[in-house]
Amino acid sequence: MKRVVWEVALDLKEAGFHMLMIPLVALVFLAMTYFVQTNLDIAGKQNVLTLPMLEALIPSLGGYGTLMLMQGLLDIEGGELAFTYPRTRLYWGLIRQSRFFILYVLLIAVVCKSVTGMMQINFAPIFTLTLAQSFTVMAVSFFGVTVARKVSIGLIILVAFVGIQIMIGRDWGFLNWIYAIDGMGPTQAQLSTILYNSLVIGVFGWGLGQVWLRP
Amino acid sequence: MDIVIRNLSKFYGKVQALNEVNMTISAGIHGLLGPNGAGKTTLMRILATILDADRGEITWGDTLNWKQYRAIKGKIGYLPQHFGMYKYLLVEEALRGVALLKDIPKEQEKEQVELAMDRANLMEYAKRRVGQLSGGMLRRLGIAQAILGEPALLIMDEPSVGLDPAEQINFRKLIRDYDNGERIVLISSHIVKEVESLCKIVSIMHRGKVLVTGCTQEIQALASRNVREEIMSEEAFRVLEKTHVVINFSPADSGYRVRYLTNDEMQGVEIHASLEDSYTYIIQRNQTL
Repeated sequence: MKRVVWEVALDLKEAGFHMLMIPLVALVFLAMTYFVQTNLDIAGKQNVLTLPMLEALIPSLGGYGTLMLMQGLLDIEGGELAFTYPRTRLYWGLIRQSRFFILYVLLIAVVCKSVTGMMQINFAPIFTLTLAQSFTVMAVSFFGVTVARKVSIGLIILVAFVGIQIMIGRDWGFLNWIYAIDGMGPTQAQLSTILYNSLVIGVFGWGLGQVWLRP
Repeated sequence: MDIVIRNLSKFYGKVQALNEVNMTISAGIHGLLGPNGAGKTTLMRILATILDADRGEITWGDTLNWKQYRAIKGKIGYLPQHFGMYKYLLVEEALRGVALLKDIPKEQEKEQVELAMDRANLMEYAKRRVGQLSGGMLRRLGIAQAILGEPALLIMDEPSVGLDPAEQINFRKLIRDYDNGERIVLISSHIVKEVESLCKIVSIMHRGKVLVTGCTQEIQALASRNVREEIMSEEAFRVLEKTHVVINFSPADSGYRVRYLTNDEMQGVEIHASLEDSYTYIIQRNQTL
């Protein structure tokens, strides 16, 4: 168990300030949410800004972390060296990513608990929605970076995947698979559809990414 | 225990990088020489378990072969041509991380990390961030991670690239000390003199094949009847360049001292050929075949 903790610490440290950015950005988001909610409460208006921002930001931050976890392995000269250490490809791929995902779930829980607390709405559907979205966006990022072997291209794939759904998917629903984005929180029917889509895209993303992962 | 490579082939699409390579690598320091594209790095990457061969097999003693990834990975240290990992970590932290990944027991970690840093002359940089190291120091860190855990097979691809002359001497000393008669050190290099001074056995590769393997002295002797050295005028040197392979030249009192290859064996005349002479002779001979 101790070794697992050290391995996770090594992964996080290796990514340097990129990993540090994730909780910092989340903290800034919470501060903004507090500011927006307080002002809207005073004005007597409903907050429809925070939930779309949560949907766009938190899964994307997870995707960014996924990319950064692979940077030393795939996008740095000599990264192939890691594959000569007595570890399996599964370790370098899904095992490290799943450990990071578990940590990220904690961050998602903290952010969702804080946001729903400030907005005085139900925690469970928001948390479930963000969790499913993060699972999918991180899977797509993982797939992107293992195929492209470049973090920059992985980042473009991440932004395209999120951006297309949020920006174009508002008008053309068939281009939006995992976002609710109406600012009111997901309905039960929406949540079921999003969970199903997330599961399908996520499993394919993680699975194909692992298959593609090689020195 | 010897590493035996049998009929090893590797293709990149339609390009054949290795062509039925056969070789035995015994304990000691073994040098791999060859021009760019000879297949040295491909062979090293296969030995380092980064690549899979398309055909052939590699065995180590009676019990190990290169399909037993986990067991092989536990016994090798590898230095790639470029090393750039862990730039946000301190040197010591990076090596402790590698020790973790190499499954070195926790109680031996500190001792092994210090030993590797000491051997690679990195002690005074232990608390420096990897991203702040110069090219030569980064190379030393690469060497330190390769020897960490004292692997039985050390594979080094162009190890002294980026090292200044003093560091190159330190590197040679490090490798000589590392060779304890049981370990295998495989070094690929473009610097023939480095291989000549370090390696007891040398293999010369060209176009994906091993042309010759033997003791350094045996290989040196191969070209002894085909090497000439003369002092000649600049004009004569220019004419000679068009008809012969020039191995080396340096300014002399009345023109140039020129060392070159000739196809005519000189009966009874033998020059002490260097490994560079023989390397050039063998590659040249293979090119004209």
